Amino acid sequence: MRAIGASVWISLAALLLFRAEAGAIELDVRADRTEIDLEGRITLTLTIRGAQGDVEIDLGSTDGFRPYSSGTSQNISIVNGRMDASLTHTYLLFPSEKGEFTIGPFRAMHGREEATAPAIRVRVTEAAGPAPSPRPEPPAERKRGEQRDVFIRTFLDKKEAYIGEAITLTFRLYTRIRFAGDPQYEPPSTEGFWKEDLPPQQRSYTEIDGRRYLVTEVKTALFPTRAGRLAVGPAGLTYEEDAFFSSDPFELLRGGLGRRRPVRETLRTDSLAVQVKPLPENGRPPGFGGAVGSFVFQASLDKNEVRANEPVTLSLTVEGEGNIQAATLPETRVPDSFKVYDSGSSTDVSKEGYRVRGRKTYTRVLVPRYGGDYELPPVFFSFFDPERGTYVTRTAGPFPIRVEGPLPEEKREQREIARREEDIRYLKEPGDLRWRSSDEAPPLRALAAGNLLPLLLLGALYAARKRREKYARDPAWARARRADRAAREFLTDARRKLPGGDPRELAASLSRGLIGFLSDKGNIPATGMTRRELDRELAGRAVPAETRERLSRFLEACDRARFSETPLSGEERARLVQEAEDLLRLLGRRMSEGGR
Amino acid sequence: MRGTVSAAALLLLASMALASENADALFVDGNKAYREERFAEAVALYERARAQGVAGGALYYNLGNAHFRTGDIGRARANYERARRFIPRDADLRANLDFLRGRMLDRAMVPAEFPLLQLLGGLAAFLTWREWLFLAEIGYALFLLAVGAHLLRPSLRARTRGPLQAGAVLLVLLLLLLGRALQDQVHTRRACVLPGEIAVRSGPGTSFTEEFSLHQGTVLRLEREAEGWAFVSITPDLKGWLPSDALEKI
Repeated sequence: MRAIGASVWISLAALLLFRAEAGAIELDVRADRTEIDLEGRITLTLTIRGAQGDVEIDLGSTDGFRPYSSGTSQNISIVNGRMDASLTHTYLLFPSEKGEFTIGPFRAMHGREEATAPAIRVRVTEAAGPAPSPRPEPPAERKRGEQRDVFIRTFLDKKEAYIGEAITLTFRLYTRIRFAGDPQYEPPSTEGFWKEDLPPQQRSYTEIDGRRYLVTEVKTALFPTRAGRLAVGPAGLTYEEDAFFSSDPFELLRGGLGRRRPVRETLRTDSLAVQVKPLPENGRPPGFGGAVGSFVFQASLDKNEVRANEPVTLSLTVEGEGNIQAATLPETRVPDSFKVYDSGSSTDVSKEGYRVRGRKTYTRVLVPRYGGDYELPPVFFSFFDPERGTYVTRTAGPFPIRVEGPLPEEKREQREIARREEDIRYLKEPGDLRWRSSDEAPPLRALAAGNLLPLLLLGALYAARKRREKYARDPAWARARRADRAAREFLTDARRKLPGGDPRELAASLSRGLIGFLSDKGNIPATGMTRRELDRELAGRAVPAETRERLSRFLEACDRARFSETPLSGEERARLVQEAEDLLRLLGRRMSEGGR
Repeated sequence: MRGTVSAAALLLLASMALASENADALFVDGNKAYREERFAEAVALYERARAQGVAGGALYYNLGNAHFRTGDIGRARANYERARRFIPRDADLRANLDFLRGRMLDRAMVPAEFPLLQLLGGLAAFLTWREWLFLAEIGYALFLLAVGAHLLRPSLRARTRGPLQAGAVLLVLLLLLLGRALQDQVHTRRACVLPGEIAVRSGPGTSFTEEFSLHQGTVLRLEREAEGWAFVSITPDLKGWLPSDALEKI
């Protein structure tokens, strides 16, 4: 009892504690081994520190393996006012072929933060033969007569177990001395097992052969991951004895302080063997997901009556003792009209009483889109009970849900509308359309004639317009056009006056009319001209001399008749009118020819 | 004398009204007979209405239906084709024509045409020649108005030049379509084969070689007739002679 207050601090290299730094996440990836055979599996533990809530994991390359998520756990601890949060994702990797493979590199994303971890090289060999025969197990307690002050022991609570069944490995340190510094603990190799530490360390005193020892006990739960004979390797402990606090209180009196020197010593236990049995194929339920232990399964809906498009939460919970991390929760079947969202899972592991217990919860949010009465079918969870050596299936449900809201559209197979048989369409009634008409050919000639008329009318209008324009533009031409008509008028008038009219007035009228005709027709200012000037003008218009002579004689005759005392006889008057008519004709023709 | 003319005119109008009333009644009676599945009687009633000088899409359509019910596919097709001259866009008529064409043994053969003429023919078939004439008359009137404004109102010339040119193009197009519609619907003589199968010979007589056969309901072009025989053409390469009584003129 000289090692008063001696404390043992055991460093577990595989479980280093990390501290999350504010504002950054860290990713640590551990594989329980890097060499396995085809029947084994690798437990991959990804620990994300500094993250809470949803973290996206990217395993990188998993060629050569079939990865399965084995669960998630979150751990938050507050030490000396500082909070450490970590999230642990566990994956089981089952090899599909032998060879050397690279798993990773790994990536964890939490919001905008990202952390990476390097890849792990893994070698997969052929299925191994039976495990090497371990050395004989040491006795649980010190052999009688042994006088050592420090010794260690390891032992298992079972020598035979099923795959996935919990086995408790106990390490005990017996000491009667005080250590100088912390002894270094080297945990046993546990290849072929998935391991969970079982804190806390337990201290007690025991007496062996009359000697009192301080016993420090560390327990670890081991879950075999493959069948066969597996070995738990030797555990080691390296320590230094504190010379001052020697086990013999009289040592100081006998030799003084300088006599004892610190002694560094390494202790090692023997290997332990376990026979691991495979899970029986017989009676294995279809939905069995690898859970081994004793579990209770519960499933529940948070409400059974909702409105359409309101969420309902379905919770599935497995709770019990065993490899809860490896348990996979069953899938649930929901109606097609429901939208389904995975809202996450959580795993709480308890190691109270040095037994691995846990609770795994998985929640799904269901959103019914249409009204109606629905029923979620029962959910089944199966596990293997190693105590009884049989599979057990737990059932929850069914779960009725009443949804208020619009009914779903009638589901029916849409087919193209096709006639079974064709027929002609039905009759036309008199009211259907103007049933009477004429079958005669169109009267094309009449149509053409009818359509020609407006065209001719348009042409006439255009011609009239053009004539009006010419009249306005060329007064001489207009007078010439009017001259013939005026001449005809005065001749008619003269003939009318022939029988009893005044001969002088007749002569004046004939003379005036002829001069006016020449003025209009030839555009000659004849009224103010002398006879000689008129003659010259007419000669310039190519009027023959004979006609000019006749004209001159006619005008003289008219003058004589106007101013003579003796009036003209009827015959003379008629000749005068006839001469005027002839001259008009001759001059008119000549003027027209000359005008061209 | 004037009183005699008035009385004659009244008599003519009365007789026309009576004939019209009779034709209406015959058409209604024909429909009734058809509904009562007396199809041969329906055919006779429709034909009597037709003999009164009335025609129209509904009459020919119903007559085609009645002939179809009596099993006379050739005359049914001929009457549907006649109805097409009046109601070319009628959905029922098109459906029945398609239905009949589906039962024809002779595949429809269309003489090859230039693509532009084909397009013109397709457009022209969309309306009756009367409808095209109506449109062309409207186009002509508008064109004349534009020409008149252009010629008689010099102040408007700058503004009427564009419409005048467009109107001229439109009028030419309408006249082309009218011409094509008249050619297809009026001037081209067509006929429909009545017997189930008949040989087309190289000349107008039974002693001439049978060159090919035609089947009931096939529509062909009637080129000319001589001594009870008709010279017909399907395409420029497929021509021959058939007995005239084996054809129903459309």
